[in-house]
Amino acid sequence: MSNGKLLLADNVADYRSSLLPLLRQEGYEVEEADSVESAMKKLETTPPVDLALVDLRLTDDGDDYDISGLEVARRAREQHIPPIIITAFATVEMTREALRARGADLSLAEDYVPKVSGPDSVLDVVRSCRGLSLLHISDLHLEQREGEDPIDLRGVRETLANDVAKRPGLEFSPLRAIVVSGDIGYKCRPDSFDRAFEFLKELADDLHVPLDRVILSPGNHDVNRAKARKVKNHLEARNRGNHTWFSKFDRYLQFSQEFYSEPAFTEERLYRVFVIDDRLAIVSFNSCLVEGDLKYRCKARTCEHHSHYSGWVGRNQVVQAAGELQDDALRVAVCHHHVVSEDWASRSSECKGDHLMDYHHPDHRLKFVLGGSGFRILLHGHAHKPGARREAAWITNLPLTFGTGALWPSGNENDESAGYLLLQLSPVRGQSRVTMRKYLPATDQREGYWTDDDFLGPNNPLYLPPEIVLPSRAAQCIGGP
Amino acid sequence: MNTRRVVYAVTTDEYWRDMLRKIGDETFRIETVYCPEGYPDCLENLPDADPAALLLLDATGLPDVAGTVRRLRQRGWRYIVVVAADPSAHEARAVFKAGGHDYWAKTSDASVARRQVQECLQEMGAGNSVIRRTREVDVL
Repeated sequence: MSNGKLLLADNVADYRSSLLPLLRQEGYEVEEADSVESAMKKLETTPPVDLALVDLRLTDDGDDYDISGLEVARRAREQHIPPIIITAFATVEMTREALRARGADLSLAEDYVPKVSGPDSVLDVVRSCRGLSLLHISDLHLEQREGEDPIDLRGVRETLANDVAKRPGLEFSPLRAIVVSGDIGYKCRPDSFDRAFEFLKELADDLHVPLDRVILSPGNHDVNRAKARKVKNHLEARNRGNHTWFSKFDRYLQFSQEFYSEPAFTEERLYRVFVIDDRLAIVSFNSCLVEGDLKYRCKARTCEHHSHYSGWVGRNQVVQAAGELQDDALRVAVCHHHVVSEDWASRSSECKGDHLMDYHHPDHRLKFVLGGSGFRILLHGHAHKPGARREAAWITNLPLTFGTGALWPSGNENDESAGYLLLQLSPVRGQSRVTMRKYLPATDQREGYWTDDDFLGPNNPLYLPPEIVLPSRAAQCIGGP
Repeated sequence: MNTRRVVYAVTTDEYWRDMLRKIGDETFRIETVYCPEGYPDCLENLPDADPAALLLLDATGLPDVAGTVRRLRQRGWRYIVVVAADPSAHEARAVFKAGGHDYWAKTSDASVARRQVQECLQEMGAGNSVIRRTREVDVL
């Protein structure tokens, strides 16, 4: 199996042939180029190369001032391919030219490696550029409902796994986790959890993801409502140390035990932390709770309304979880419900519904608390359709939020869509991206198939701001003059 | 209203510090942070990070230049320029990889230093005078 596809552009055949076997031994497919023209052509290949190794002096004319490799680097950047400049003539000025970011733009090259530091240094740099990916699905609703056709679990799984495996860049940024942001079933019936376990286990097998890297987050349809209704005021019960409020999660916790050999969360620790590859920390929060101080909540909402099965993520969960995370890992939050802004909430009937997750008070507003705790991305479900929001430029460090469509839409609303989201995270600035896909059901004329979701329009995949990067675990400094 | 940008300069070199103090113009002023006893404590005593300000960091006598840049970035400084009396491609690469904004050869010529700072501030853009937007959320 390939670890990704690289371009090696150098007009010196001896250098290419010294590096080539080492790169291939590491599992990379390598496209060779010996001139600017051939390198430009190789940048156009489909699927695109994941990384371009480009010699600074790429024109074979003995010109001591030749910097034609920078042209190739510039073109590579335009096509979202990170360029690495390799050179036998490292100077301060050329290093600046290659690595200096101009204004808000990215630098011309991702790195600048002197050849004298040896081929191992090039391999280190290539390794340091590899990323990882997450598949995000939500709202499975895997419950056979009366009057509906039987769910073709196997068909859905196979077509989904096939489509995910074909996404470009997955070899260089392998899939490391599957995020399932709630609503496993519909009425929290045990049979829906059984189906979901079977489905997720086989999907994880197909995509070579271990079962304990299936990141579960409970949804409002995963709560045992009969038990929830027995408690009149959940916040009050919690505050009094009455444990009955927690029994609403009994079926979900039993289900999660199949994945982690222990319940996904406890009364004391209402979230679960996943550290992936030592570079990424994902926290699955529980948004089906009544917690925090109600005085900061939307005035139209009452405590009683939330007693049964829904709720929000309170400040305590976020702050407690953040305290367990290592400092420099990229932080991603997952929860079932979507976050709405204060303006929108106060205008909307949503204020009376079960979706609102944000507080009025800035110290308690979820996005502010998440941002202040270092979370850069929030993945959610619940809406049954794709979503993507970012804060305006003047508010810094608040998370980007992405929602994905329901995997198995209920068909209640016209704009519901079946979809998934692929989050590809890279240690290279400007390379992290989100792809949204949707399923078009079969018609009399053709079979069902997956295609790009038009929600993002022509920006699919959507490249995330440069600050969304994985920390690089490779050596920061390499030898050389 | 005073719209001069602030440029901080951290150094153990008093001659360079004195030269820098004279290069300010109507667009920027220099705040020097002199560290005669060495860097560690001195860097701790820097003012709170100003993400829109330029910070010049003299590499002379600084044992771990890239590490220092990385720590300053973590503290919130965004535009850090390392100024080296003995510049090298190796050190330049390490500085950029650590998140440095630029890497300059140290000069004792005030007019060169002034031009470098002016060009850098221009490249940084509006900086301090960022206009706040009223909308909180944009749909991507």
